Amino acid sequence: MGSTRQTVELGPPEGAASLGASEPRPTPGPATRPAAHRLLPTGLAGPLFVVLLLAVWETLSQLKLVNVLLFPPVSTILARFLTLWTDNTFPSNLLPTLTRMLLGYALAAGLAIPLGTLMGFWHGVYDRLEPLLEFLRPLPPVAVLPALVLFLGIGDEMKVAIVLFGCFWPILLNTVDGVRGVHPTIVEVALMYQFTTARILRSVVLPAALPQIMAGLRTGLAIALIVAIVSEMIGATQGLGFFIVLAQRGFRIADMYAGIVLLAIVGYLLNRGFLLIEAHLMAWHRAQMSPGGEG
Amino acid sequence: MSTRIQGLLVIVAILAAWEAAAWASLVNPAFLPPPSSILLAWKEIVASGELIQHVTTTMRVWVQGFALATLLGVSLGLLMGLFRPLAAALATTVELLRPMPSVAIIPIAIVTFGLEDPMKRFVTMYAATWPILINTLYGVRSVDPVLIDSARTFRFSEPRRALKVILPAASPYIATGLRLGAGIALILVVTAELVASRDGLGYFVAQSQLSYRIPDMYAGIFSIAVVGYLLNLAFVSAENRALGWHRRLASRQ
Amino acid sequence: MLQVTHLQKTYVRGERETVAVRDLHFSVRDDEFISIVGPSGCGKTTMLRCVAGLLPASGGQVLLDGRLVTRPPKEMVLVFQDYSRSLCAWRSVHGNVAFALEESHLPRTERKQRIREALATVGLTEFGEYYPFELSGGMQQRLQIARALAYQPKIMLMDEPFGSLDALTRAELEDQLLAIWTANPKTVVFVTHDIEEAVYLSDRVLVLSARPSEVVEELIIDLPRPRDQLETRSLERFADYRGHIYRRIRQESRPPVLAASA
Repeated sequence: MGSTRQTVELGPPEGAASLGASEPRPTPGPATRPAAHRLLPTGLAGPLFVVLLLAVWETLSQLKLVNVLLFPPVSTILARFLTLWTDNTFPSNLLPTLTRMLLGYALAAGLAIPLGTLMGFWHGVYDRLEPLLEFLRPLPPVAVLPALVLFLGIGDEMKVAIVLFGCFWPILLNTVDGVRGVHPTIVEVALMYQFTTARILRSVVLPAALPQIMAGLRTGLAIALIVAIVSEMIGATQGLGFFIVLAQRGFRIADMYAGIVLLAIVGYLLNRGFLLIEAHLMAWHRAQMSPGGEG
Repeated sequence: MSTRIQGLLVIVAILAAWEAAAWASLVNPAFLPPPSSILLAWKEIVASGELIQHVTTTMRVWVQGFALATLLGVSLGLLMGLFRPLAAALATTVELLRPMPSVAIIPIAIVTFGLEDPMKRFVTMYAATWPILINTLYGVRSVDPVLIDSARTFRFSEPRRALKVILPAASPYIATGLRLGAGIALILVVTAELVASRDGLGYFVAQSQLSYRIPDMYAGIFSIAVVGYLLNLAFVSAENRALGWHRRLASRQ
Repeated sequence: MLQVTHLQKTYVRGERETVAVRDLHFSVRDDEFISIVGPSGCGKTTMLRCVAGLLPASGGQVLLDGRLVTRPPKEMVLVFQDYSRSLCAWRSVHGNVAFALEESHLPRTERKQRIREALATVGLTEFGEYYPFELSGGMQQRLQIARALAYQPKIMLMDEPFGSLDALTRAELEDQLLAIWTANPKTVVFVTHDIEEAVYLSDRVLVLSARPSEVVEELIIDLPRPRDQLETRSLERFADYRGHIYRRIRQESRPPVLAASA
């Protein structure tokens, strides 16, 4: 069945995966690559518009033109945010969330990158696993949560495991595709220079596939945060997802919004951090892609 | 024997090993029942109509949420791509909201809309809009600037013609956005059902687990996988059919 | 001494068999510069990949100093036509040359010495920190040659190395290659479809037939060295060689029926 291969040409295979995926880098690899300028313009208009939105919210809420219970004034939310941060509520909930998330993410990367490299390098293995992967790939990771709870309870193990499961697939599939996309010529060059297979994988295949591996890691990071939060919404005693749901159920709406604001900040910073690392690792790639990169 | 058939045999082998492991009590059959009993449970919930009902609910919300997201994402993406001031105004908002894990919107939707369809629809729409918006925007940006300029010159006289130029040119990107959005929409529907709802496949899985009907739970997870698989298949083949020209162009370069 | 005895390569795709190389038989003396020319699509690249040990032959043998070649031999390098794909985009110029020495177990100082020399030889000393994409096509190909030189091979196989460069760059690199070869003789097997290039560079030229390929002519190029782009190319004997090979190739690339009637 040719359809899956074709998907890859039009976009990365992770399908459902790139939730909140960062960077205005496109998923498809269509015929013409647009000049890699910023997707969104910078300038004062953007921040001003945000301020305007918040001001409208504040005014509507203060004048009681909207339901104040559901939409507390921005100022109240901000005040709660500061209180919750300084009284250690936020830090003490954020830490376990981040720890579990990053642990699951690191485990997923540690498993999926080597495995994907091997599977991509020895096509035969991947070709035989493809039907299985094709079926598992579109499965929303959260659907597996109840089963995992059965085995692991609602403790840290379950939460790390579900994060691992969720971001394993995009990292694996992107790695496989990246490795398969490595041009045979460079591998032949390495063979001529007497490289061992291990060194070919490490010094040639991995770096050549790095752009796509990074794309998988970026998607995986977004999924890791989502899945970590959902796992805390289902059952937990601490964590940011738990805090938000608890606030919602107790109808402490300002607290709920404050928690969501914190979550947005975390998502933003994770994304930013990732882009910094990526830019550092792949200066060659980025420069190559930008207009005028041809020397 | 083609690799495809060998691949299917791999699946059969895994199922057989799983079955054997369950019978030999290598795994706790209470937690991981053999595929045969999952299949049995599946047949039962199909026969009783229970599964159909949950699938219908899930798909209804998915269709509605995804349709709204398509409308919102494509039109906003087009407008932002064509009118720079609009893009400039919305830039920061997009940059701040997009990295936020979309499930965070669920509690807001619950307090605003309750636990029924409107909540789930909203959540689904919200999450699926992002990839569609971004890919559309990217698609418009990737269109030859000359094409955009010429479209812009007659934007007042004939906006329809502008759409006829820009929209097809950006369609490969939009198609990718739709496929990604479709998958994300499913994640959000299932999550919303799992976290707070009274019907749908996600609810069925969670409920089966709570009431310890474990084969039912796996049958539910399996059904979600099938739905996801079929949706993905539908999008991929539609994309291939509609955009064959683009793939041929891309592969030639 | 490199010996290719009755080399044959057949591709099997499904039911169909394609004979790419029918019967290649030749040998190359140590430090000899030979070129192999033939009509395009005549299986030159296939042949070279068999000689390099990258592709198993379907029949016949490749012997290097009497040893059978089954995998890329240690003392051999292959310079590819597609320079951009054979360089590591993620490594600097310096790093790309270092690539050749990664499995060499040389002491660090020796390694650095060789890299520096190789870069100096091809005139890339100042570009050590550049990345391949920042270099022109000619510079990238020089980098690939530098990488090969740093490895200090006994045999250098070159697969249309200057095929995708413009005429001026090509002439410049031809002379550079000859200078390198003169200063530090090694066996060179140079595959090209450019007859003049083959004559200009070589001690000997092998002419291949169209696919499936055989050696149809062997020509010793008796032109004085050092060669010069203007002087050598304007020699009468140069024109003779060129004309002879040209006619031979035209004969070979014609369909047999037409050739018979001609």
